Amino acid sequence: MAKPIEILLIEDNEGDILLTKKAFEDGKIRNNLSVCRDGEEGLEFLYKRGQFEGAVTPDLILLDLNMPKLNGQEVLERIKNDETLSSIPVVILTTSDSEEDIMKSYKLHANSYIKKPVDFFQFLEVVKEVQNYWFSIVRIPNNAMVGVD
Amino acid sequence: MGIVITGHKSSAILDCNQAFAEMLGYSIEEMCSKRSVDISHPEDRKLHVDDVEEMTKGKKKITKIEKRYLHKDGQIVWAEINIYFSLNEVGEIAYDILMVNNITAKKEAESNLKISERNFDILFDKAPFPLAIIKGGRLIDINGSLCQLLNYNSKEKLIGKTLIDISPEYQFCGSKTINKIVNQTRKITRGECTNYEWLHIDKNGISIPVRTYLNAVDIEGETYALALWHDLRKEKEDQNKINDLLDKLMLKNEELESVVEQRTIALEESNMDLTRSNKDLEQFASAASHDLQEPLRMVSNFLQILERQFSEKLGDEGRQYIHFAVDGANRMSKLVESLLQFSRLGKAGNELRKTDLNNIIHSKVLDLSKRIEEKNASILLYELPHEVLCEPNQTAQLFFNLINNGIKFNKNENPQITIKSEEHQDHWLFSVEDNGIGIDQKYKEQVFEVFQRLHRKEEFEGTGIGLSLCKRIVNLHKGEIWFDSEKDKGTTFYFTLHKN
Repeated sequence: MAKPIEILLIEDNEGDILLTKKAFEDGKIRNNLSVCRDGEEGLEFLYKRGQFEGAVTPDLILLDLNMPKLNGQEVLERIKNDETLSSIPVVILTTSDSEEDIMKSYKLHANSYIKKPVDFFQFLEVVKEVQNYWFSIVRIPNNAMVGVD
Repeated sequence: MGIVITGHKSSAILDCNQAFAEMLGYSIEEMCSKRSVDISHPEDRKLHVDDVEEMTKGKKKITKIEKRYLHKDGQIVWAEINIYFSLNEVGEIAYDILMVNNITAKKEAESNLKISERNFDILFDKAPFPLAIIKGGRLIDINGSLCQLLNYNSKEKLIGKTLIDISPEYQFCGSKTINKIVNQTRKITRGECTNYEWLHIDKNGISIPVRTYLNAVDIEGETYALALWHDLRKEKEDQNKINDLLDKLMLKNEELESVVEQRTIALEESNMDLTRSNKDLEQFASAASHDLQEPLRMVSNFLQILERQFSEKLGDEGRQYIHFAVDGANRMSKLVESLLQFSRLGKAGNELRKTDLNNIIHSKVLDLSKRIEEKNASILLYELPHEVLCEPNQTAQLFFNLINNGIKFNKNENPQITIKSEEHQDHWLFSVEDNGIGIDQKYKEQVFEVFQRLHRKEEFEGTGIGLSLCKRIVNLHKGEIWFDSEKDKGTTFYFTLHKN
């Protein structure tokens, strides 16, 4: 069996964390979903510091924009400015599809952008699409994999 | 000289010379058949007789009279007559001998002179403007108008006064100028005409502004000044009134300016307040929309998970409840989203630029292609202007909403939307016409209000924000939007965009 895909969810809303977990459980691709509850914790995880010593480098980061302490945009900026992390695909999760939010995210080199749907079944669809897109269609840069190997 | 001899008592003409006969247009023979009274002017018939009577009483030896004869043709002939008596042997008066000079021409000249003098007197005295003849600064003769002007009731009291007597010491242009003016009046020479504006005082000492016109004339070798006055009281009064009015006007103007200034400041302040509150409102709406979405998603998502995982336990009724709850959350989510969209419109950074509306419409029609296909609709798009100053995204949204409404509120088998534009002097007029259900004119204001819906959601879905969004967009472009509609026939929305 193929190695499960490592996903890091950086999200402060417990409801959304649960929803995302449910949605990924539903998916056809095996995955390990790790969760960080704010931006600072997310960066600790990515840099494998403190309690996250020995954490795996994720194949995909799901990043919420509205978070306390370090918000999503700042986290994204840090990731994209760091050579060791910049190649990890980042999908932005947001409640609004306002152009402002979208433009901001893309300016910071987010790889994709998902509006959190009101409808759960729609959310399942979106998650399925993300999975397909990132793990079936798009070739993920290898260094993320190399780290795992 | 005419000579005529008459009988002393009878006054019959006994003889006359040719000159006398010719003087009155008769022949000598004709003359000798007349009496003296026959050829005399009716008023002068007695005159001769009286004089002669006086003479006969011995009071006069010879007398000279002037009388009028009548010419044969009826005209008056003035005659100067010397009367002598011719005595008979016993010393009685036998005849009157009259030596007659024709003085008609002289009399006429005299009469003409009198008329002319009288005319001049009338003209001078009754002239409606003050006049005077001045010699050496002194009033030699004056007319009634000058008396009136200076408030004197008789000429005599004014004649002989000098210009200094009737002028106050202090004149318009400071003290002691009166002598200067009077000296000037003395200096004017023949043929010169000049005028001064100055003050006189009337009999009661009241100042009267006047303008005096002086003309120097030579009369029998001496220089006089003819003076004419123009009373300036009315003019000065009017001028004062005008000045007063001007002063008041200036004052009002200043007041007005200050009011305007205050208003401007107040307006600027309230403008700033408005900008601030607008910004606050945008931020509030944006934040509210974001934050409202979150709990909504939790409600609907977990209800759906609940339904999915515990479907059997819930039963049909339970599942229906969940359905309603989820549907409600979905609709609320759409409302929140539209509200967010609405609030975003006013934000800064939406710059106007020259835009080809044809491109915009094509892309929006493409966005609608699925809907167009489903409803079997057709879009008739006339060529639109290629350069319109507008915010492209908003304008696209505007067209999208109007086209979308035209298709949505349409029960026709073949909904048809026609988009046209019309160029006007300072703006473009656009129209989006449909053959849909129509809008009652009584809702002409309401339809543009936020969340205003005219239909139940089962009939036509929607949040009720589409047209208010359109109005906001048009208003942000300083244009106008309105519609014409007929029930079951269709609606045409019009809106304008300024060229500058």
